[in-house]
Amino acid sequence: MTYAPNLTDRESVTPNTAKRDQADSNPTAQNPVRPESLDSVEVRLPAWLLEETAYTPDTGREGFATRSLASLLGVLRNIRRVPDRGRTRANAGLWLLLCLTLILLASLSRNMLLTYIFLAALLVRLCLLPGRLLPKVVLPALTAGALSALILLPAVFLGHPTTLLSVTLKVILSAGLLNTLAVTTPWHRLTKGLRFLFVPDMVIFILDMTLIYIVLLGDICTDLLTAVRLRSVGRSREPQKTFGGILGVTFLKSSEMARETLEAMTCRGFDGTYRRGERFHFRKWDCLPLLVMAGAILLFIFLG
Amino acid sequence: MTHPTHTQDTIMSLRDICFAYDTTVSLRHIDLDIRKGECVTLEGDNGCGKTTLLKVLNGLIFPQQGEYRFCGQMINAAYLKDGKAARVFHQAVGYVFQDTAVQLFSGSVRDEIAFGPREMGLPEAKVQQRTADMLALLDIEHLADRAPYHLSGGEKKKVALAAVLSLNPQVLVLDEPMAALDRKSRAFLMAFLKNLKTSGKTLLIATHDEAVATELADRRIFMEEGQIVTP
Repeated sequence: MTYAPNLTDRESVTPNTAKRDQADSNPTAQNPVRPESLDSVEVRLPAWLLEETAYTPDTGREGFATRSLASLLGVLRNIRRVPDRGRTRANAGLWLLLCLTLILLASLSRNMLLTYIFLAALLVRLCLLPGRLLPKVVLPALTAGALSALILLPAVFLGHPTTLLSVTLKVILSAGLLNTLAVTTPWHRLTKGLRFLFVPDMVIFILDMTLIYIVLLGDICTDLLTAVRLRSVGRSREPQKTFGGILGVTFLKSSEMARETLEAMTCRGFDGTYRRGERFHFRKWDCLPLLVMAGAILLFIFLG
Repeated sequence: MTHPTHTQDTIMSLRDICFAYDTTVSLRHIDLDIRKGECVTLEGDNGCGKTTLLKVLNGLIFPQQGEYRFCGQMINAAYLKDGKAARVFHQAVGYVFQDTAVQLFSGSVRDEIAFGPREMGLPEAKVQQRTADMLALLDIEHLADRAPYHLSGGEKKKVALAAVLSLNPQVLVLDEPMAALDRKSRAFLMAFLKNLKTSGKTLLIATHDEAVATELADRRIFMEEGQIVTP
């Protein structure tokens, strides 16, 4: 069916539009103050604005805005700074599957040799990473390991020192594997890869949108904190009030953006069902994670 | 390379400024002097480096090369790390963002305008006086108790300007002040800026708007691919 509205029918024009048409022919009626009438706008500046303010702040401490801004920028930088190509050529879903398989096998295995072999393989992988990425993988993994060692410390005094070693190493392995995947694969490729693991399209879409919104709302927060920082020229008497304001504006903005996104999607035919058109194409690089996975499973069967 | 003449009146001075975001070069060898009481417009296409230059001038980002001096004082990361110095600098240079919606964070217009003077530690009577003056000056008295977030674009712009001016900065930096404003708001803002200029405030305006440049500018600066060019 072809939809053809009659745009020339003058009778279908609403009264408001007709008024606007009339006003367009008479600009003064529509705009009482026109650009030409600048001189008619009288602005008298107050005396204090005409003098220079001699201002000496009473404190040298960094404000909460500066500190919050620095940490927020750090988080956003970490989300953004994963180049799209050149790191992993195989399907991200296969890498994710490999990571989960290795973690599962290491957890199920009673033979520590398997964990050592997986750790050695992780070490080889880390050697292939650029130096600047190493702290991002190693530090969180070691922190997680240290935390679990602390929790399991009583086991040593109860006569089970191997439990401490085994669990700590497995935690380091799991954290190391997932961090390696996170720093080498962009978020959108990871979420896309979830499709390979039969995660529903709608869940993947929600994850994608969540990540996009984290960045967008982070940008809004960054701008707001910058504005606060530029005007935080002394000791803030009510920093919590300012912080509440920032969160409030971000919340309002997020609900507005969510509504607008839904409206834009509805306009493009969204009916509540999300379908991804892409299909999985096997490439030669996909053999690598599959081979490693097969090797790991064989080792698990062999070593137990 | 010949540098612009540095005089005692120079309030902002940039020498051989280069800035890059990761691998994208945004500013290339910028030399610029802005004199006290001068109104300068920065013009150029989108992405030519205007906003980056404004951020450098506001001490929000620091160039990888070159030096920036404000009232003779070198402005760099090390200098602004000292909180006291940073506050004096930010009080002296006011910045009105292009998207004013992300500049307003208080619960009411009155609180928004009073934020700066309160931060400065002014007595409450003076804070109230400045707030009232700003509300009257920008003709937004009727909006005083409304939430800034729910105002129209033109009203938000006025509130943002009032909030920055309440600090009484020496230099007012405006990024696209006329963007997305209706004709009435444009006319008001133009007249307001004209008055501000006449009163001796130093104005630096990044704009696409030919009318703003011709009406207000003492000096027009054109940028292209991160460089200052002669039109």
